[in-house]
Amino acid sequence: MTAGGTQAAAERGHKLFSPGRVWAIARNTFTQLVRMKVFYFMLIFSALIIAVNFFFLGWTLEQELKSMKDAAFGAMRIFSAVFAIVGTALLIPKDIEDRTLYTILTKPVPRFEYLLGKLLGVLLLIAVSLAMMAALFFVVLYARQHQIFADELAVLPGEPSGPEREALREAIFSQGVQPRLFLAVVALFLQAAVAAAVALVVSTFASSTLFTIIVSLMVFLIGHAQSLAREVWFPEGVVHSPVARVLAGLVAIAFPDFNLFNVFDGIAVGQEVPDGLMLRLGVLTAFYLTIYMIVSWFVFAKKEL
Amino acid sequence: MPWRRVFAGVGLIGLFGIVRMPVEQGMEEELRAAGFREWSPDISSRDQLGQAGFAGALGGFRSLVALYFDVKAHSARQNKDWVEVEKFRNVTTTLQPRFWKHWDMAAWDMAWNAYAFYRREAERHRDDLEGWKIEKVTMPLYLEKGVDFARRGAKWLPDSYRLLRVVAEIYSQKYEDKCAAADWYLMASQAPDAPAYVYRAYAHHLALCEGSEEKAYEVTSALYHGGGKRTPTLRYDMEALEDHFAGAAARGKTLAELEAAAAAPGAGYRDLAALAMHLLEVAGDLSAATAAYGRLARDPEAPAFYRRKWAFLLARDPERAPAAYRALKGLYVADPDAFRQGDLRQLAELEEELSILPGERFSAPR
Repeated sequence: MTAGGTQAAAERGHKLFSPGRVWAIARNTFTQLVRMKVFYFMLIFSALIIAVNFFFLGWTLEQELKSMKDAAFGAMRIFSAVFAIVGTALLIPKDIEDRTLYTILTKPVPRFEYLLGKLLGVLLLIAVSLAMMAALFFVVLYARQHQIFADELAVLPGEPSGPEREALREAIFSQGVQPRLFLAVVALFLQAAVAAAVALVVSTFASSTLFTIIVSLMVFLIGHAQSLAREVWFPEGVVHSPVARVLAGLVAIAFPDFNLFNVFDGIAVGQEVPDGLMLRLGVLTAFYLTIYMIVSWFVFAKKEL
Repeated sequence: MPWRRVFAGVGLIGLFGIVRMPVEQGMEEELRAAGFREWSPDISSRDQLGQAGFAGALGGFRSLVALYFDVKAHSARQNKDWVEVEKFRNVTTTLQPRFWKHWDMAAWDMAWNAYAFYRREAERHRDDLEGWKIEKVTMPLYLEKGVDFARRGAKWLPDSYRLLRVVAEIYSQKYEDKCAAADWYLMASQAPDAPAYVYRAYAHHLALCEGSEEKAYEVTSALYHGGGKRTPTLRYDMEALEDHFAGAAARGKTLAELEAAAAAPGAGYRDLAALAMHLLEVAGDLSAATAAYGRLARDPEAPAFYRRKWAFLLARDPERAPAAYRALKGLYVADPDAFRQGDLRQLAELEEELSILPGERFSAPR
């Protein structure tokens, strides 16, 4: 076959979008992040969970289990947000520094695929990290709730009746491992996914990693108060001045609502997540990721590297 | 930098923002309606939480901030700094008003711990003005704060008996207001998650509430005859109420009137109980009273404790004491819970009188 024939065959075989290429970049990104020894955080998380186990100040059984959940989910939230923002912010500069970016982009890999692969790699890392943290925590919580139940039974005077035993079990286990807690972990993942997408947008035009991290963190924090701005735009009682409403509207439009994903606070105190809400949060997250991916590509496609 | 593309990107984000804003607002309202958004930040919460706590709560770490203030409240309690305890408990209950334990702990800290602390302080300053001030001003103030926490919590959790029960306990144990306690126990017993003992507590407090004896008898009698668990308290209340009404009738009517009432067609065991009590306590006729209580003991409608009463009366007659002892032994074997500590002491005395051998006695205190 001639050189021209080989090129033509290659062009015929080349697809505009290839999930295989995206997956290869994603896997590579995941490996790259793992090699940065990010999973050392599990040591900190494990230490925290074990420490919380010993950190009970003569609390009641409900408080004890709830405080474990508060601490663990607080840590999961911090770790997932940090992974999402810092992990994403490091990716493009690191690829430029290692010259990996040029190796990839000189091949017939569209920049959109490169970005998508990078984002998926970060999401994979977040998912694996959250799954590990959740698994560890649920095992500890499960063991603890059974231990508390046994301890409480032991201190009860006499043999408790069936209903008494059941009431005690219900009081303890309602604060233990519940299916609702899995929804809280999913919500944490969705929130971190949006944070990663924000960081990806910022990193496409940022001049430094530090800039990306700071701006993304600010967006993350402001995004938690975004609902306040929206309330000014959609007033329920006090109607604010037109200037305040316009400014609030701009904030609401520009920043993603990270607080919307905060279902753990309610779940922690026993509230039921409304039917279908998690699905809608998932769909909303997909929209966020799609839009931010497109915006990242807009900027990155013609960027001089 | 491809600025045109950056602007296009910003435009796309803006367009997406406009489209998603009403959707997100709808979801937020749904979450609020489901109890996921009880806390909304304002100026006072910034003062309460401090800058870092406020930022943390606003940044999605409300549970973690509440946990931090819970620990601080605990620490303040160790230091007996009740002003700080109240402040921190206000924060935890504001941040997570649907966690009943925050309210419970707040009420407990105020109405029990702070109250007990100041009671000791009042005793220490018994002879000076400070002691008087603590007793008359500070102690009632902390009771009021405790009740207030529990009441506010109960409003947040209308479907739970727990905080209503806490209010009732404060009224019962601290204010010694059994009538108010009964009202709160009744409310608590009507919550969907209320266990059976809450209604029994209502009945018990109603029995202790002066002026509510009629209602108390109605409730206690329904519980006693209802086939549920006959706890020692329920038995005691039932007996006390029976005695109350029988005693009132025994003292308020003549013997002839009581005899006529007991013999009238349709007369119940309560008419006979009034007559028996009159014979025993007003007329002082032991023989006739024993006979009347004997009839009561055989009445299937009458509560079982009349059999015990009759047997003890019977035992006062030395000739019939052995038979009475056998009857009491039978009753005890059948239902030991029908005997109170006082009854067991009386039994022990009877065993002494009858020279029952120690190995055959059954009245050793439980």
